[in-house]
Amino acid sequence: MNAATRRRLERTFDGSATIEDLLQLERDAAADPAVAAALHATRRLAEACGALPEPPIERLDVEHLVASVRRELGASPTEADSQRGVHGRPSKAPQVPHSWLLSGTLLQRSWGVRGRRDGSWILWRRLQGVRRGVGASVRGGRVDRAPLPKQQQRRRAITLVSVAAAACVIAVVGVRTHTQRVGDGAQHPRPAFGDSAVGSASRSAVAFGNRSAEDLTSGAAVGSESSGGQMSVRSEEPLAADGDARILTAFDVVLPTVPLDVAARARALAVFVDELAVQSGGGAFDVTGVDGAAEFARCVEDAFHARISGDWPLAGFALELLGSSDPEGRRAAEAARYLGVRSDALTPSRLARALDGAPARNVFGAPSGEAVAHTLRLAAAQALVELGAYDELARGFEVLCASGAWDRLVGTWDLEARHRHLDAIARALPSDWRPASAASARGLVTLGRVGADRLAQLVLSLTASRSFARSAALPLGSRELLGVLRGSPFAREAVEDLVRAEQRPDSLRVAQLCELIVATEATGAIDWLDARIRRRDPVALEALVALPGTTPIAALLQLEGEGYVRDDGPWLRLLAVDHARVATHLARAMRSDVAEARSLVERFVALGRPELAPALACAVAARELDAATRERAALALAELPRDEAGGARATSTPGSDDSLRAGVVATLDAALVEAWLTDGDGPVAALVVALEAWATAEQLTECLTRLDPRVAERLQAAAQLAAGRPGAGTLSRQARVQRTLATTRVVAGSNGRGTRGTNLR
Amino acid sequence: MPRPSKLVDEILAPAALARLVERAREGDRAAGDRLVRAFAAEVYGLLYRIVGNHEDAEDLTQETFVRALGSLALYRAEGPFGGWLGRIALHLGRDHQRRRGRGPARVSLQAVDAERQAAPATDRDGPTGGEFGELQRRLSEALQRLPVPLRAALALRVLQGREYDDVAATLGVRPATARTHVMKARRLLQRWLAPWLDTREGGDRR
Repeated sequence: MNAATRRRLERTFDGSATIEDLLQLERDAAADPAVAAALHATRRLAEACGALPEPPIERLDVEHLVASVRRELGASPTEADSQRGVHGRPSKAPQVPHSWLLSGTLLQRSWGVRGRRDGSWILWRRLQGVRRGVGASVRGGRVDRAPLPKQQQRRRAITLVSVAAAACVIAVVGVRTHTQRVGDGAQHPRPAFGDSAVGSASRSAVAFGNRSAEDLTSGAAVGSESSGGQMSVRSEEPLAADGDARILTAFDVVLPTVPLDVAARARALAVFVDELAVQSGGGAFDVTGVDGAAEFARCVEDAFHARISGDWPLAGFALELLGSSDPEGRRAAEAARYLGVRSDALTPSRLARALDGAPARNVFGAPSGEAVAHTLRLAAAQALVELGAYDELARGFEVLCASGAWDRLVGTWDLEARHRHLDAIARALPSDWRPASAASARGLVTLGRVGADRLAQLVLSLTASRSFARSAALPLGSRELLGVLRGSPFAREAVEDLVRAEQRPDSLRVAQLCELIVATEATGAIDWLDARIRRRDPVALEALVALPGTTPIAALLQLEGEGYVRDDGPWLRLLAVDHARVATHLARAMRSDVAEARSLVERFVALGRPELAPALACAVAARELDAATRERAALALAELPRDEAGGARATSTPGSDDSLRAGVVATLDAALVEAWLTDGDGPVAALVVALEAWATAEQLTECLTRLDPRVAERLQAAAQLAAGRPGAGTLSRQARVQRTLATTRVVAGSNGRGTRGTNLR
Repeated sequence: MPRPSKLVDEILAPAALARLVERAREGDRAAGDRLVRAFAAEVYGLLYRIVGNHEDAEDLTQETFVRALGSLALYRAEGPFGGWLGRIALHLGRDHQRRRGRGPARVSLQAVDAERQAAPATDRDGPTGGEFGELQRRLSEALQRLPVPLRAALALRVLQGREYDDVAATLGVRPATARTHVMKARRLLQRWLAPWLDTREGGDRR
């Protein structure tokens, strides 16, 4: 595999391959198995990439995001930092460079060089002069160096030192002033760049139920120390008895300021839960040696029994803490399972309620955040599967799918477990269950419980069809989607809806959509295809060619005009699809644009493909074209490839079937009569040559007899003579045509019909 | 996610975007809000591809905008605003991964070979039907093992269909380097997923 092939493969993967690249790659793949393997792997990887689930943008609450950002920007960072025990960082304010600029200006002014372009240089030389006790005077741009009187040296040195001291004072004052202003939040209300604590605090605020940092941090001031992975938490003020919110506040303050691992979070949680337990009169527990998810879960469980036994919100809170360090949810699930086994409170019915998002508020009275609910759902679903409670899981299927937990749940199973669990859940799902959202529809497809009409209706009826297209339908792959859509009366509309839903499809999705469009004859997507073709997408071109009722030649001509189609590949593929439509389009072009038709005929003549016989016959018969063009078309028609036996004409070409040949002969026959009456000898002779090539001997005789019985015999003899002359079989087609043409002219010239002085008349 | 078309049209015009940024820089909060609305999806999408889960991506999206709007004075308008925003998001995502200890995975070839040997025979025999899902699952895992710059380049170019100039602006590299990132990502993925990609005997998948 050479470097050019590798580059083409890269372009195939990233979607920048041109049609030339693709065609060349296919040629290379046919010749080299290694290239074929690499191409296959690349395409399959691209297919898998294209089928990856889209980011769940629909879960992003933009208005909440806007409000949070606005709140963060509006908060005084120093105030927030002080409550976290973090001092504001002095900023390198603009006052510092300003002070130096002022000092420099004063210095320059004192030396009398203000405004000179070479002032800096002069200033430098003068400073050198002061240091060395040498004065410099400037005259005409030149610097004269001469020793200065001692008094003048001393005066200048004093001036220099004074200015430098003034600059230092200004700089220091500037820094202090700026720091003070930042602290007041008056001039710079926005947080300084790089202040991660703000964002972290906001995260915690969101996680703890979207409460603002100001609300949460009122009343408690807690510092933290962290060293060597050990964390201790101290409270500068004792927690008040009404301290649920304060404990939450403490969490909000402590956790974001220290990079915590799971164990540290567990310790922190344990400390505060312990504090909570003490306040409520329950038993405290030892937090030493807390490490890992199981221990963490045990802490939570102890807290359950000590303070709020069986209270789901705290479990959710704890699991959220775990989940925030564990995106896969495995450790959270482990903790949930642990709780489920060890705690009687975690029965399947409770877990099922957890799927419904039961804990609307956490133990601290704050609304449970989406992160809490999501992690809780996932953990509960894991625990239900572990307990074999598929019925409960099926009852919560809708919310599980809608929350996105279903995908993550399925993703945690290996292949064998996936088959087992999916089968069990599918059996547990009620037969009359219907999805209420795109997410659950997709989940239904995962379970293999959906038919053609159902899916098509889903595509059409779901208000969120765009998200459905992105998240559910296309990842199925076009074949799978076609399989379920096939036979559905909604298929065409569904595909058109899918096409409209795609804003910026990648190359793989373009291919899938094109396949769907062609299969369902979704002609409503022609505009979309046209737009893709203008972006030079060969797959869309193929689809447009294959789509009934379109005029792909126009697209080809347009592409040719733009210099895009530089080989005959698209033309040949078009001809392979439907050569009859080429002739139809040519006829249409002749009626509307003769110049385009002429260009088209020239193109056909140059191509010389047997599939073009109907089109060329059409061109020969077209009176709209000039005689020379028709003559060239007739000669090209005669030259089209035929089998080497010579006797049976055109039996090995795609256009060799009897009906095609009969159609060509009939067209030529009609054209010959017209040409005989109105044209010169060139077109007539060329038509005879074409007829000789395509018609049988009997047909040729009949055609010529229709012209003039007196010359028919002689014309036929001439044609046969040309075809059967000794050595004719060894001649090239071009030579045979020329010889036949000359002979025909000679024979025709003696018919005595001439009117315009040509040989034929 | 709802995005008012009027807003999008306004945002898509470079001059209007520049005005909006300038207004936000001068302290116009409404302009800041509009910037957040306009770019939230893009930033979130990039971060989701980097961190791999909704919660972190959402948090980091917020933090990205807080930082960006808080330091608009540093934005010099020499490149696209989206690229600058994406660069902030990329740095935050990378820092986040580093904090988590789940930064760029160091995957040894021996581990890959061992995993390949351990793969079930049915997997290697050319997946059909649900095994494409298996490939996707492996791909999702492999994406998380990619170094963050390669992951981001792949996400921006292949998954989001951005132009290489945009990708380079976001990554803060030259376009040629962005192209190299995508190339390296493809090669790594192809090496890791070789058992699930070689399915030619299984027939055409599509």
